[in-house]
Amino acid sequence: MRLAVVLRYIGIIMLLNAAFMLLSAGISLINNTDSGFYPLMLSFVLTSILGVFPLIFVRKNDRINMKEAYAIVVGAWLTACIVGTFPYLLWGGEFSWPTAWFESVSGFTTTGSTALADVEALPKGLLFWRSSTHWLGGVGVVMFVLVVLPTVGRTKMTLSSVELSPMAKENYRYKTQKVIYILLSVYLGLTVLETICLKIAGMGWFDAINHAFSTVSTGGFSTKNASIAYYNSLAIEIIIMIFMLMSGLHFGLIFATLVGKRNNIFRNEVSRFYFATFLISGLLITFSLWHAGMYGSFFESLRYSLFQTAAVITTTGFATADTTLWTSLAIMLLLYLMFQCACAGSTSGGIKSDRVWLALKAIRLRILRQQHPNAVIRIKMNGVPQDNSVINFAMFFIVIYIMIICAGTIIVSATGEDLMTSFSLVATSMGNVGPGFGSIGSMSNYSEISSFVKIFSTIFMLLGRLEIFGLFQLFLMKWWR
Amino acid sequence: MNIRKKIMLGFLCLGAMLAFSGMISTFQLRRLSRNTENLLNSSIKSIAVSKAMLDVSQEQNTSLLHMIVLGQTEFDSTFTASRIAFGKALKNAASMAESNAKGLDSIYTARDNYYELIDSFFHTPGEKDIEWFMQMYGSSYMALTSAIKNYMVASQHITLSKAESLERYAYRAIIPGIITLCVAILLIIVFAFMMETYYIRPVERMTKGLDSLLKHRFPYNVEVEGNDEIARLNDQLEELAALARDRIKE
Repeated sequence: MRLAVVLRYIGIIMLLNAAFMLLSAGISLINNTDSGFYPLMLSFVLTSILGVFPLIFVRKNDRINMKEAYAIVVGAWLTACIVGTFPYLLWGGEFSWPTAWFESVSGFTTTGSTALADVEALPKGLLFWRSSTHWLGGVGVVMFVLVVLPTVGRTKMTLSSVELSPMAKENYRYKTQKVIYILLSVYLGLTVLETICLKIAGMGWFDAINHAFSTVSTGGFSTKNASIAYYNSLAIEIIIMIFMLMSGLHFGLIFATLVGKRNNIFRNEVSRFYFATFLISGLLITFSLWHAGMYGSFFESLRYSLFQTAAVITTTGFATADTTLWTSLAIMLLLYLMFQCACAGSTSGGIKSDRVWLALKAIRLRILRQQHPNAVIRIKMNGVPQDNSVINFAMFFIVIYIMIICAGTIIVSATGEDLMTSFSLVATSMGNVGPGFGSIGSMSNYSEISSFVKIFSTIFMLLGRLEIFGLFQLFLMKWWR
Repeated sequence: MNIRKKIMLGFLCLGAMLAFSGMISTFQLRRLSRNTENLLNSSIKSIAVSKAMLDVSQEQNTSLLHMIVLGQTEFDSTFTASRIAFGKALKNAASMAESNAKGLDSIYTARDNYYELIDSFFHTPGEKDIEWFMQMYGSSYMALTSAIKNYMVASQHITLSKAESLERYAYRAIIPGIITLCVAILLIIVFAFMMETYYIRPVERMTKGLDSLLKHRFPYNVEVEGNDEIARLNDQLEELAALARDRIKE
């Protein structure tokens, strides 16, 4: 592995981060040079120098191998998370080293959990940087590099196979370069459209942009302590809910739907399964809340339950209600959705609806084979027969995902946290969702959680974001043949 | 880009980073020192002003005692002078009491009550005796001195709360230095790695290749990436080796 080449690509990603730091400093400057200006400018200078340094020595290199690609992707995530802490640390306030690291990782992995007790105390420049980390992380740092870099061919193909879920890659059926442009245009388009819709619904430009960044990246950082509940506006909630659901879809499918392709979101099995899960869970929660008399009317129960269901299944994590107070059925359904999450090819985390759907089909296949031992039956997704290796990997992924969550829960509960907090903390971090239950509910934050648990949960955020094996491979690279 | 430029740029990056960090830390440290100085000055000033007010109150008290008990009317002028001095001290306190307005208000109230009592004494001096001094005047005087002491304590509390902001300034002075230092250390490691990869190892390989050629007549076959002076030197050595091989064959 050529470490110098890896450093060059990571350097380019650092420059991209630096550009967003400069943009955030510009926001500070517009807002009467608020207290975020100097930390953001200093972070910009430091990150720029870090980014430029490898470019001085290492020549442009188009051909990178799989090992290098993994190192670039994982290295880029980790480095972005490290430089992402600079503005927070330099600003001070509530940010200690663990809090800044937690906030940065939560931002770049699009988890959206916050360790801040008072988000509104942050200057606007820093709030913008916080949302930018979501936006940058959402589209995938490497994805940016692929568009920014005028490189060709194999470089892009190798990198995308790491960054995207392997199943999403199967689904695209476009050349990698085209895939990148499709992803970026859908991503940008959704961001712009949501900003305009939120502005029309009554949000200020600043809040609209920040919330659009958080929604499209399925992150969940808000500029308000009470998240979306602060606005108490049905129009805003509906807009955000629609965009959350859209952002949980395969971006390639959104594009296919827009250009009138046959394989669109209405015909695709996975997106139908995803919508069905959302609707069934949402309605079950509605009835449960209505029956328990949690809210005044059926309509109110429907309003809060659909929004929270969308926020959890898409791994965005915005809040309009305190879900910790909900019924056991509602909490259990939301916990399940934390595992399943949205579709591969979106910016959401978790196991992904694709794998769950495939697992359900595999279970059906097992039953059918027991009934008809000599029958030749194959699992098909959208009419395409699936290879055994794909099915085995999906099953293996689900098993290891659950095992990691169990192990994590044991460790977190050993620190003194209650069972619900420990379990939901690990599950929400691993699924990049954001809020959990217990002391980290949708209306709470991680400010009371110990520094050890904060840092520990960032490992799960990174594991979830890099689909578990992405992070593992970095440490096993020495033995990788 | 040639080697000299690359190395120069590398050092320039490191230098710029350290200089920038130094500038920021110096700026923040100067700010910290200025704020500390202001805080100490305001603390000293508030103590001095409170002490002056207590001293002149004491003077007024003594003068009045002389006038009532011993009948020494010449203390009238001493009392007037003390009253003027109290006014000045109070004015000084008012000029620096934006954050302790509440404490100052209590002094104003206590002072007004105190002087109202004193004025009644000067209007009808014969009617006031030691009993009046002990009871009526005594409580008013105590109220005034208590207000001054409370003001002094409150001012110190405010100074203490301001001292907490010094911690923030100190943090801001130290953090850029720590972060920049960490980044600089990282850059030094990367710089050393780049030097090793792009300059030291190729030169070592070329030396080894030349050694093999000269000692064992092995063909010179060294690959060097890039298009800088080292890569060109390697190309020229290859040509030289080929030339030497041709000569030997002839």
